[in-house]
Amino acid sequence: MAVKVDAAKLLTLRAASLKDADKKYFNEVAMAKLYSSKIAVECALEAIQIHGGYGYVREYLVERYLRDAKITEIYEGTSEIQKMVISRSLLGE
Amino acid sequence: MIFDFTEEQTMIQQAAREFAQAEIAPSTIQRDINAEFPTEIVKKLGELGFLGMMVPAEYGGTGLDTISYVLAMIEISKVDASVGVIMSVNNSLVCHGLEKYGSDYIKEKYLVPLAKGEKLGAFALSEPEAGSDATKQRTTADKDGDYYVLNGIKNWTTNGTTADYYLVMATTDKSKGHKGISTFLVEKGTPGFGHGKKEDKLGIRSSDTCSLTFENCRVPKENLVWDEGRGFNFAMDTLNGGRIGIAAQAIGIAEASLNAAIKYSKERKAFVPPFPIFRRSNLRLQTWL
Repeated sequence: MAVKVDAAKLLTLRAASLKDADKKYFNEVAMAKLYSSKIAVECALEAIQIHGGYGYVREYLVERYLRDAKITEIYEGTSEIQKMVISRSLLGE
Repeated sequence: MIFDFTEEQTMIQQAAREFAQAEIAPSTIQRDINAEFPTEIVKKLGELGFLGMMVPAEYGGTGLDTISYVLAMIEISKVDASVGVIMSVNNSLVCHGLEKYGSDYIKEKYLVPLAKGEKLGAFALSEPEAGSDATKQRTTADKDGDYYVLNGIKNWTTNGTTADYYLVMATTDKSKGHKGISTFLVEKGTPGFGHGKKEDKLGIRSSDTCSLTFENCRVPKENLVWDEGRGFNFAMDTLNGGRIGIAAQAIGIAEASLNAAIKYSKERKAFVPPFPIFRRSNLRLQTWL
């Protein structure tokens, strides 16, 4: 989990710094969004597993993390769209 | 490469962290259960400059860089991803789009209050028949004298019932396909502009999502954003910026999950050291953290 969070941060901060430098960042931001949303779901699931039954009830916050995480793979361009952007960039289209 | 944040970036991160803990955390669980919009929190976020973070001061914004925005988004979303998405839409999609492509008139009239957080924005691209394939827009905007007349339906609009100003993509020239799409700024309360019921969602329940309807909705021609036919480019460019916001939101959720896992495992260790769950928990941490 720690490695995933760190990697997601690095990808996203790279995209942000490219934007700040007025450089093209559509490929880098697609990678950042694709990866960050994927690991958000994974980390939420892992956190629930570590909590055991407590992770499955409202009183502990982790069940909400999973519910909140899933939409990040869908809105503002689904993960499939991010992959399309990245593929097109790799293929030079 | 050395990764280090400036003093200003660290300060913003700290301010967002403190705000999230003090102002957002106490009501997060209740708002999630009741699907209740964080009206007071959004107002305070605006007063502190978190809703127009990257807009220059001359247009009422905070004038910060994107790195600061990412750091703030992570901190807010760690505590409440619903507040995160409200903030992301206003900053990345609405304010950024207007700052980059809006006329002086639009910037003065609409961007300033949006950046100051006095008004809230929404972004309407998706339609019942146009989701990932956003080129298939069916909402139309026909020129009629000094107005454009909008007809159609938009789906999944974040801040759908709560926003004051809406950026709406609509086709001004069907024959040109996606090059015939344009962007309009529509004010809440414009005759012919309505919304559907609030969606009952799995997550980010405290944010407000609904469909929008346009029935002969007359929008002044001054509210065309950028030029006719540039709506698709407008949407794609603003969504690029939006994706930074959503990536940061996702990181916030992931980091919150990690922190919860660490906290839970430590508690187990503190209270029941000889109990097998403690060893199992640590083993899990080694495998998964």
